[in-house]
Amino acid sequence: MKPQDLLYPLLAALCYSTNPVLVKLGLRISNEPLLGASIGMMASTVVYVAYFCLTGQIRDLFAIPRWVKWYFVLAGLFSTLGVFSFFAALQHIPAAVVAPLTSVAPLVTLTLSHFLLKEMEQITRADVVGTVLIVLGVVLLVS
Amino acid sequence: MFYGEGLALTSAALWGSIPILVRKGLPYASASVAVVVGLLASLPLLVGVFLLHPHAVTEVVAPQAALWFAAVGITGPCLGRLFNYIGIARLGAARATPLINSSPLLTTLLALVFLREQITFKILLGVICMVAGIIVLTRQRAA
Repeated sequence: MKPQDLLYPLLAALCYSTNPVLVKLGLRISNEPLLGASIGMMASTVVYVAYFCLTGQIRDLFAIPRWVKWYFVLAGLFSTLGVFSFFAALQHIPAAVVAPLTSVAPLVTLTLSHFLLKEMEQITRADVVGTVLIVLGVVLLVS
Repeated sequence: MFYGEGLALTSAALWGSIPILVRKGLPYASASVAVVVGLLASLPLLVGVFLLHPHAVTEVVAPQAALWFAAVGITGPCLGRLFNYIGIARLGAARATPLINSSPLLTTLLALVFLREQITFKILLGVICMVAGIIVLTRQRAA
């Protein structure tokens, strides 16, 4: 591992951390969360689809079974509805509260994996400690 | 009361379900295809918002606000995801994930500096608890 490799996860964290702040800055000028979220998602779609086409991946799009596409369609709709909800949350509460509350997502994934994918064979001590800390954090932020 | 917090947790629930849906299809397609299908599937929803909203976008969203909203779409889902993948590829998920998951702490700092949000001791403690919980929970899975 080279020290400069650390830069990439830190840059990812920086990109994610700026999102609530950028939304707030936009909402302070124009308080339209639904339209704001749609503009953000449109920009994201244009950039990502352009990257996808320019890197010659377009053929892969037609090579997948139709039933698989339905899972990705549902994932995309969940993602967009999540963005709508994220923008609407930022209309009401501070960015410093929204950011940690939305970071609960991995806990949701783990819980759903346990019930839907039957992947979590046993609950470890780290699972219990992590979950208690998250719940405590939610209680502190919401109360 | 708790409306904003409920919306933020709804985002977390929606985003937390996405890996479960995507994982079902990933043996048959790349992550990039999954993202593009999801983005394209959301397009009718976004166009619907623009068409059905009682006001035209240009009437209610100032150009500067539109820039902030577009920046959200480009930094988080595009650049954030790109750095995320490179970070995991170079450092391994066990080292990269905890760094990436520390983003709410950075948001707190950015909200303090750029939005002049009041960060109380309770908020700071809540953010630290949640980030620690997410890191404990995801680190062992990534390892």
